[in-house]
Amino acid sequence: MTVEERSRAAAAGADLERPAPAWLVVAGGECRDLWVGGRGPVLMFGYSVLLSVVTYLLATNKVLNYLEQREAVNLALQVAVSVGVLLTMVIGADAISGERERGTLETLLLTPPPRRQIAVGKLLAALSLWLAAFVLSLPYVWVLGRGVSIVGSAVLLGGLVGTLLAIGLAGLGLVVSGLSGSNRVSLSVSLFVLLALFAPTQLPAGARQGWLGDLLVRLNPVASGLQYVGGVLVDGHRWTRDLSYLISPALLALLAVIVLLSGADRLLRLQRGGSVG
Amino acid sequence: MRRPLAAAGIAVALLAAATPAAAGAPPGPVTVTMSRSAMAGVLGNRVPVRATVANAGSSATGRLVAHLDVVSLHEDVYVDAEDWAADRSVYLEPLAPGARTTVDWTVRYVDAGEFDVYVVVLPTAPSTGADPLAISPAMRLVVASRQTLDPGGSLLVVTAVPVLVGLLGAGSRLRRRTRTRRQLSSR
Repeated sequence: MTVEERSRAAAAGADLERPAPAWLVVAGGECRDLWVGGRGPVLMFGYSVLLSVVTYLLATNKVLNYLEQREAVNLALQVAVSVGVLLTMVIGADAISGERERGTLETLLLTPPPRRQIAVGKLLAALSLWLAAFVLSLPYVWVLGRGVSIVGSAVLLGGLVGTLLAIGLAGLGLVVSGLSGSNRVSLSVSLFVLLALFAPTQLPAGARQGWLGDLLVRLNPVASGLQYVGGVLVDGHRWTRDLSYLISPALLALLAVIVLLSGADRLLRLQRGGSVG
Repeated sequence: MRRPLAAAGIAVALLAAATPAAAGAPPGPVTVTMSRSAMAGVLGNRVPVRATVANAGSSATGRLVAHLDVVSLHEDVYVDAEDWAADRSVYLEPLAPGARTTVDWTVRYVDAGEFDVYVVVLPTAPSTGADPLAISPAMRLVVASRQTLDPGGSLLVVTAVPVLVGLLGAGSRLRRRTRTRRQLSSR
């Protein structure tokens, strides 16, 4: 955040006559930093190139072409959700430790808004990246899914599962960022967690059968969420049939937000474990 | 003298092999029939395949297993049957004399070409050597290739979206630079 934005955040916290929500001011400043500062557009450009390649391969490659259209939409949506939440988590993982290292956290902490509101603002800013990624994925889903009338379902599913995962992983990224001694550690830990969560989605179908395989899928928020998407989109299950698969993504989102809010005072400090924030 | 004897031996062996009774495998009481003799479709389709297993004998069978298989009729097309149908082996309860049951699979057309699908029914009890296998007539599948998606339509989207995002990002960056220059010059 720039000094002007910090002042605005300060004013928002101090102005008792017109109590503008400080979290909104913080979120606005963080979003400007992300989007006007240039990181957001660059990430979204890379994201759109990736989705373009995947979509073009699905549409033209003869080896992949045996896929039913529903499976093609499912595959594209899974890539869109996976990479979208990955980027969101990376932004979350940089939000506190990155500011610490760039020396910009101090001015933010000197503003009157409670740390909890600052944490909410940062979480919302990270989620703005998911929102942009989701909007960008719409044309790809449309081009793959038109003709089989699953575009609406795919969009709703992507929005629902992706948002749950994005809240959970962005919150987790922020918590890791607050607890990490350096930005490098924060990003490394977050990426490791993310890879660990995505690895089971690459297991062959046979390995995921049986009670243990099913339990592992259900415990893993990413695998579980993507399983739900596939069940509805490809297998034609009703939306209510596999709702239990959404328990772990919803729990992750809830836990991440609770930990972030309850531990905001400890997470938002100038140094990890420092006495002064 | 050896050649005529050898030829006679081979002829007897072939005759014995061609005669079921001689091979010790008389037609058993279990029969399998397919719901259709042929189907045609395009790559990626999922189609239902139904087999009917009947006990034409006078005594009950033991537990049976019905197994579906897919064979390519052309050497250059490889078939991995697992891709075509999941859970190809279905276990059946014993059939009383005259009873019948149906078994359903969903088969996905994974390759283009001509294929035969058939079902074999085996007893699950340890074979005594007298239990014959029951094999259904083959169902011929003719699968046509197709482009499931329209590459032409996707080309517009896959090029336009990154270009638009890139232009928006570049415009935003240019505007930021211009604003910074103005601020510096005004100071």
